[in-house]
Amino acid sequence: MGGSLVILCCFCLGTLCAWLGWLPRGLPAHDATLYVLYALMLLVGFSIGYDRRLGEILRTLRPRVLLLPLATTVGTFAGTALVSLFMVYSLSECLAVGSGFAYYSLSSVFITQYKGAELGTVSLMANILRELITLVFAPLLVRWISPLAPISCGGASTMDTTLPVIARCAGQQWVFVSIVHAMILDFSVPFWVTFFCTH
Amino acid sequence: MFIPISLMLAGMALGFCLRKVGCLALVQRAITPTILLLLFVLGVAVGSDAELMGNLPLLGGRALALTLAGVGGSMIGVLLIRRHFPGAGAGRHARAPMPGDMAGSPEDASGMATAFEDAPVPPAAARPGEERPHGR
Repeated sequence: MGGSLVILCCFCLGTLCAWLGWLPRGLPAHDATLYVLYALMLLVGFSIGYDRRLGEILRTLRPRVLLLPLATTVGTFAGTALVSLFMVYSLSECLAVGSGFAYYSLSSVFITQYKGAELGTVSLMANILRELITLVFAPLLVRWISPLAPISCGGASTMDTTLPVIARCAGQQWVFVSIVHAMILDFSVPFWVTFFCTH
Repeated sequence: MFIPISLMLAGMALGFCLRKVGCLALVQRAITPTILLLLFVLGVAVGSDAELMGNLPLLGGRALALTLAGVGGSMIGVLLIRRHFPGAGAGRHARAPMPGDMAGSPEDASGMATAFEDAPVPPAAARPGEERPHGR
């Protein structure tokens, strides 16, 4: 929770600085986000490739564990597709926001680049909200639906920011399912978001 | 549009090749500061757009609608697949653990039997509470 708040504060600080005109004029914010995103993608890729656990985990996985990321992906797309009927945004724009799966830093920059700052901001708020909903409602989701529910709700965040909450509410026995779920969704976010932004 | 994805794949190849170099684990610590910087710059992009700033409450409402729809869809997905996971019913103790059925039971404390065919020794770094770069 603390981590998400620090990140939210960084965003608000940037917004405030620009809004109040504290930054030097002509600062190319758009190009800057692109280059910082490139650096982040390289770093994220590096940490995936460097991680020895990945091969081990994928080799010994039970196929049924893959049902959960599948359910999260299909369910999220179905839900956002339905609500796109009542939205000013097109189907592919809504799906692009939905396919962030709470991975707000990456998805919102992608969407800002391809679809403009308005949809990028919607994506940022929507995906931060998804993480917050998971953090707050995890106990209720376990009681009403299933221990799998907070994992599915947390999307790509279930191996770091929301993992402690899931371990506490759903139980330790779901921790590995949660990590595998997040690894698969993490990896799929850039693909889905660029796919929906360019279609 | 292929630049970010190719950069990620290049990073993966680089990380895979440099696994033997132990000190490079420090590289991963750069992820959190990079995310913070990214969000700051994104904030600058939003804050310098006056039209966007005026519409923030409206955009927030749309974001909430999209999130609730996505989460709702995911929950329906979970309802459809939970029967494939032993012990995944509603409530803490919806199904009592049975002898010989370790997967998903409280005895399966590390979750290995739930997730894996042949339950290897848990990789040391993959436990809750482990230090990972925070923030997505």
